[in-house]
Amino acid sequence: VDVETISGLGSQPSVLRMQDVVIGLPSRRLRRVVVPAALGLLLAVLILVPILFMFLGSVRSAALADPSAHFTFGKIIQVYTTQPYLRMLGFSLAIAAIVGAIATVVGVGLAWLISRTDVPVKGLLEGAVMAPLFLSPFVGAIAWLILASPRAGLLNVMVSNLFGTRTVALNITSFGGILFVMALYYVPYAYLTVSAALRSIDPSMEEASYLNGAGVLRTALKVTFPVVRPATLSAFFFIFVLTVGTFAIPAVLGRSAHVPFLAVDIYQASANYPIDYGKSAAIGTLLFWISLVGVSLYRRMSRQARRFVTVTARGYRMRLVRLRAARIPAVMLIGLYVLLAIILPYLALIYAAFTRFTSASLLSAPWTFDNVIGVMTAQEVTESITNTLEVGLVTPTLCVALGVFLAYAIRRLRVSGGWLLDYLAMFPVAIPGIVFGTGIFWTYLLTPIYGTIWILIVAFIASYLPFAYRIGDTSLLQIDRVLEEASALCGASHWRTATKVTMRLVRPALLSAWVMVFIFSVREVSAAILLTSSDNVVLSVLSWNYLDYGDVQKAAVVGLLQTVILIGGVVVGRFVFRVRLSRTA
Amino acid sequence: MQSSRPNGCRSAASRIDERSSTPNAIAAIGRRHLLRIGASSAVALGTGRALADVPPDATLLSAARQEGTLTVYTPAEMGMMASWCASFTHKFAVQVKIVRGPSYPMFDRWLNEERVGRHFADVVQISDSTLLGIAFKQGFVARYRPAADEAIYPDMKQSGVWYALHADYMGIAYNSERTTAQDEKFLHENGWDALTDPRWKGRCATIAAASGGSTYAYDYMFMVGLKDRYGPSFLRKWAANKPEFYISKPPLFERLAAGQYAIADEATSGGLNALYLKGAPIRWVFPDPTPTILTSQSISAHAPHPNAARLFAEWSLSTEAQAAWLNYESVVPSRPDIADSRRAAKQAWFGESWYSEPKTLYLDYLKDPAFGDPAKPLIAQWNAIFGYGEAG
Repeated sequence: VDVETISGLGSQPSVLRMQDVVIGLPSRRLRRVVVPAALGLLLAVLILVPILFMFLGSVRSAALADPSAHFTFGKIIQVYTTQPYLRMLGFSLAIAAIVGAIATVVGVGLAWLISRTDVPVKGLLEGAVMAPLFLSPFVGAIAWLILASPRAGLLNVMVSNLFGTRTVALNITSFGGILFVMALYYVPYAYLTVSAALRSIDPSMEEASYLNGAGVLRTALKVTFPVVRPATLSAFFFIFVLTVGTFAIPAVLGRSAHVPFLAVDIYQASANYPIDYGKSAAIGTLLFWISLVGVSLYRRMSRQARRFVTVTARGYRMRLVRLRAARIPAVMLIGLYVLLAIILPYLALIYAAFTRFTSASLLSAPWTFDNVIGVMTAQEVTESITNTLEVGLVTPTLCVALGVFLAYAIRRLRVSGGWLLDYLAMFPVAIPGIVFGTGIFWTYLLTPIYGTIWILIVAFIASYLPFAYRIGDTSLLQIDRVLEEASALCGASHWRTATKVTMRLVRPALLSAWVMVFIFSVREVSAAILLTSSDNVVLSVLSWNYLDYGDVQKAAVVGLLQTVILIGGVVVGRFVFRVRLSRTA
Repeated sequence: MQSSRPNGCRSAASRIDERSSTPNAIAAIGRRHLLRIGASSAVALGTGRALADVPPDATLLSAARQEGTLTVYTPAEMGMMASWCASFTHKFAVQVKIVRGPSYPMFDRWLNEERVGRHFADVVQISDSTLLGIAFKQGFVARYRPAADEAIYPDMKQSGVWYALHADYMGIAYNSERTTAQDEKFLHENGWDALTDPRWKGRCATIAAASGGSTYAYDYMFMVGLKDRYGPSFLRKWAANKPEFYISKPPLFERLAAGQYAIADEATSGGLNALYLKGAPIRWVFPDPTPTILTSQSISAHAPHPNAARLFAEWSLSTEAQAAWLNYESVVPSRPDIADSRRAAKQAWFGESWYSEPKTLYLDYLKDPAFGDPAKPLIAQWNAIFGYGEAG
C-alpha cells in the first residue's frame, strides 16, 4: 500500500472515513503516556529549561555561578519600572510596529503583484523577492554601513560629488536608517505568508465582484485584501516579534549612536563593564512577555487565516489582473526593492571584499585580492566552513524530524496534552536569539556538549522548531485523511500508513521546512556568539569577530562565503528536491 | 621637575627612584627609559647583546607535547593571534586553540566556567591587568614564574601572577582627508584640549567608558589621575562636541579611516598601524601625558593542559615571540631587549613628519587601588556627562 496504490481513493466521498480503531492507532498507553511524556520531556529540556534559567538569572544579583550572588528583585524592578528601560521599551515597540507595518505593506504589495497580476517574468521576480532570505541580516547591515554611513558611505559620497553638497543625504546609522534596513530584510516573510494566502483564496469571490461591475482596484481593496487580512495581520505580528528581538542589525548600525533597543541592551549588559547578568536577564524577561503577546496575536491571526484557505481538489484557473500600461512600472517597483535589498548590498560587499580598506571614493579605491586570499587560506575560515556545513546539515534534519513527529503526534496520534505540546513547540518564536543563547549557555554549561558544535545544533533546533513544526502541521492538516483511511482499509498497519502514505504526502513541505531551517541555521549569529568556543566557530560568528575587530573587508568576504553556502543549499533544494520556498508558508 | 607636571604624572627619573625604593610597588614606566632601552636594544639585537632565551625545561617540553594542545582566551584579533600562535605550534608541536572575544565578557565567561568546574581555558589574556590580580586572590590564577621574569619591565608584571605581553599608547587619531593642515597643526599643538574645540562638533567619535579596561584606564586619567588639570569640566566640553559612541575601538578606527569622522580619541597605535600600512588616510598624535595600557596574561589555576600553558607562557615572553608580535602590531614589548626595527630604521609612520613619540606615559592607575574597584564607579559618571546609555 502506498500513495500511488491508493491515490484513486482520494476522491471517494467521505462516507469512507473510518474511526480511529479502523485506522489502527497505536495503543492507548502509547498515545496517552509514552509519546506525550517523551515529547514533553524533550521540549522541556530543549525549550523550558533555558527559559527558566533566564528567569532565574533575572532574580540573582550576579552571574548564576558567582558565589557572592544573592536573590533579589532589584533588577526586575529596575527594568520594569524605571524610566530608561520604559523609554527603551516604548522605542522597541514603536520601531517593531513600524517595521512590521512597512514590511507587511511592501510584502502584500509584492505578493499581490506577483500572484494576482499579469506582471512578466514572475518566476524571476519571485526569486528576486525571496533572495534577501539568503543574505544574513547581519551581513546586510554591514553592506548598508558601507553604502550609507554618514559622510563616508559610497552613496553619500556619490550624491555629494554629483551635487556638490556637503550635507549627508542618507544616514543608515540613524533610527530611520536602522528601521529601513530591518524592514528591507523582513519583507520576504510577509511576502511568503500573504502570497500563500493569495494563492489559496477561492477565485469565485473575485469573479463575483467583477461580475457586479467592480474594477480591479475596488475588487482588490474590497474582496482580495479583506480575505487575506488575517494572513496579513499574521505576517505583521510575526515580523513584529522578529523585530522586537532583532539584535544584529541595530548592533551593527547602532554602534555609533547608542540605540535604545532592548535586544541590543541585553547583549551590552552582559558585554560592557560592569557586566550585569541580572539586568541582562531581566531585560530578556521583559522582551519575552512582549514577544509572547505578539506570538499569541500571530497564532490567533494564523488560525483565522486558515479559515479563508480554500484547499480543494477542483482545479481552477485564477483570473489574473491585467496591468496593461502599469506592467513596466510594476516591474520597476519590484526591481527597486531588489535593488535595495540585494543588488546594492552585494555590490557593497564585493567592493569591501576587494579593497584594502573602506574608502569613501570609488575612483581611488585601493583594490586588492589580499582579503580574499587571506580569508580563503586562513585555518579559522576552513574550520568555520566545516562547522557551518555541519550545523547547516544536522540542524534542519533533526529539527524537521522532531517538528514533523510532533505535528504527527498531535494531529494524527491525538496524544494527550496535545495543546500543551503545540504551545511549547511554538514558544521559541517568542524568545529572541540573544536571550535564548544566554539560557542555553547556563543550561548546558555543565554538560559534555558545552563548547562543542552540538550546543549550537541544540540551540538552533530549539529556536527553529516552531518553523519546522508549523510547516509540518499545516501540511498534515491539508491532507485528506481519506487517503490514510484507505491505506488502513487495505490492511496496512498504522506505522506503515504513516511512512508509506502520510510522510510521502508531506515530503514536499518537509523539504521546504528543511531548506528554511537550513537558511536560518547558516545565518544565525545572535545566539551563536554567546555559545562560541574554539571548536564551534561558524561563519556568522567569524564574520562578527572580524567586524568587532574593525576588519570590514574580511567580514564582507565571510559574508559572501556564507551566501554561497546558502545559495548552494537552496539550489540543491530547488533542483534536486524540487523545493519551492514560496510554497512553504 | 615633578612639581611642574600635573598630578599623577612624574618624570622617568623620579619614577625609577621610587621604584627602587619600593620594589614591590607598581610604578609607571618612563617614556625615555622605555624607548631608550627599546631603541638601543634594536641595535643590541643585531649585535647579539639581547638577553638570550632560556630553552624550556626538557621535562616541561615533554609533558606539554604529551598534552598536545592548549586553549587561549584572548581579546586580540583572531588572524593575528592565529599567525602568532602558529610559530609556537611550529616550534613545539603543541596546538593552540583560540577563543576570541571582547576582554570583559571573555574574562567573565572564564570565571563562570571555572566556578562550576568546567575548565577549558589554559591561558587567559585581558587588557585590564588588575582583574587578573583579583582573580589570583580568588584562586583562579596559577602562580608561575617564567624564566623571562627578570627580563620583563617591573611595571609590566605582577611576578608569578600576570605578565604583560605588550603595552600600547592612546592618543587622538585623525583622518587626513577630513582635516585641514590647520586642523592637523592644531591637534599637534593643543594636547588633549584640542578635543574640546568646537570645530569637531558632529565630526568626532569616542569609546563608551563601559566598553573595556583600556577605555576605563583612559577615562580614569581625566577623571581621577589628572582631575585637577582636566576633570568633569574638560569632559563636558568634549561631550559638547557630540561625539558618536562606539563600544569597541577597531570599528571606530575603521569608520575614521573611511572618512565618517575627522577625529577620534583613545587611538591605540596598535589599532591604527594596520590601517596606515594599508594606505588609509589615518594619522595620530599622542598628547602629553599619554595613557598607556597593558595586555596581560595569566595561567588558569585549573588549566586542563597545565604544562602546555606553562610552555606557552615561557614562549610568549621570549625574545622570539615578543619580536614576532611586532610583525603584527607596533606596540611596546614587555621586555627592554626587544624593539621595533621600524622605529630604529625610521620606517613607516616612524619616518613621517607628523609622527612623534609620546613624551610622558600615564600608567599610575595600575597602582591606584581605586582603579581596581570591580564596581567601576566612574562609568556612571562618564555616562551622565556624555548622556550615554541609561543616562542618555
